[in-house]
Amino acid sequence: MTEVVVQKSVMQANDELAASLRERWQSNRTTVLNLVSSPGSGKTTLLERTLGALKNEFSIGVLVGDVQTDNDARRLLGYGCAVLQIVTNGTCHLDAAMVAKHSRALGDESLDLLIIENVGNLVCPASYDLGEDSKVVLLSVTEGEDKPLKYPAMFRRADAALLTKSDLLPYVDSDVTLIRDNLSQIHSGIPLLQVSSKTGEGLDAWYEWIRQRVEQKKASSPVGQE
Amino acid sequence: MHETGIAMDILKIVKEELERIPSERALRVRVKVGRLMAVETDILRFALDALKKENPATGNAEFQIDEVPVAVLCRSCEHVSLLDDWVFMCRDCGCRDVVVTSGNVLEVTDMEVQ
Repeated sequence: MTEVVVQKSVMQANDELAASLRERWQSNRTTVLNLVSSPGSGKTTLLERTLGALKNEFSIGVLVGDVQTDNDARRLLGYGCAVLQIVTNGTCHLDAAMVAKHSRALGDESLDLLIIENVGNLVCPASYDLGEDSKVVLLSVTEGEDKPLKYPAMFRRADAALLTKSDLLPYVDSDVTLIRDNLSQIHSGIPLLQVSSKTGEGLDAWYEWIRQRVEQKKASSPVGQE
Repeated sequence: MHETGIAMDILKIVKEELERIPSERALRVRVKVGRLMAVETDILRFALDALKKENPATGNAEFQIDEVPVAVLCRSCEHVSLLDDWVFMCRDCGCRDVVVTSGNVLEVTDMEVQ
């Protein structure tokens, strides 16, 4: 019987691939956002509005992940942006290998902005680095104020949060102050934007947040920091 | 429910290590799972016990899963706090400007082989 020290990361293959994607997107200065949320929080509708608003400013590509169907990709066609559906066939998250394969097929080298819509799931996508610049987590007002407390790993890793479907606030017992407090317990200082893809409330702030990310990336060195 | 995929990756690492050593069988494998990795350890154990039987080299291995708690370093007073709940806050000064220093690990730590 022999004892062997292993110390090998289980995520190593994914993380190495994610690092090489990050390097590639840095050299092309493509800003990459990873949109995560539970199913039905409004990721695709937000993307429809976002593509409509920003398509003339930036060259935008979208990868959209779902367990089944290409419904979301079909919804996002027609804005003149490159869109590809990733059907995971049962897998509950996107990983770096799926993104690497599809982002090349999308022609990502010419993009200013690549938006990855992850599979609707607040658990598993938290563990998989896709090489993105920022994770953006969506939480709709109908979901319950304690969502950040229930899914701490995701809300901790996110760089920005969007409180979606704010047009429904008059009809649901949702306490926005409590949502902010809960989010701040998990991730103090994270920006929280209240938006409605239906009425357009807050969307200008969201577009501005994206513009700042894209401008920062454009101004950065092709080999990244240092 | 990504525990099955993670179990497969763990078994792949074990198999690669057995080939590298080389050794015939793994008897015990220790895995560290950080609490920020969103991995449910009971499901991971179930998946490992189901999948290990596919290979005689791992079929009798006993998997020990150690959960690693989340720890944060306070940026203002530099105190390190272990979080037993999910409030990301310094336990010493109450500051919420903290950096996660532990809890993100997911690794095959060591194993006993024959």
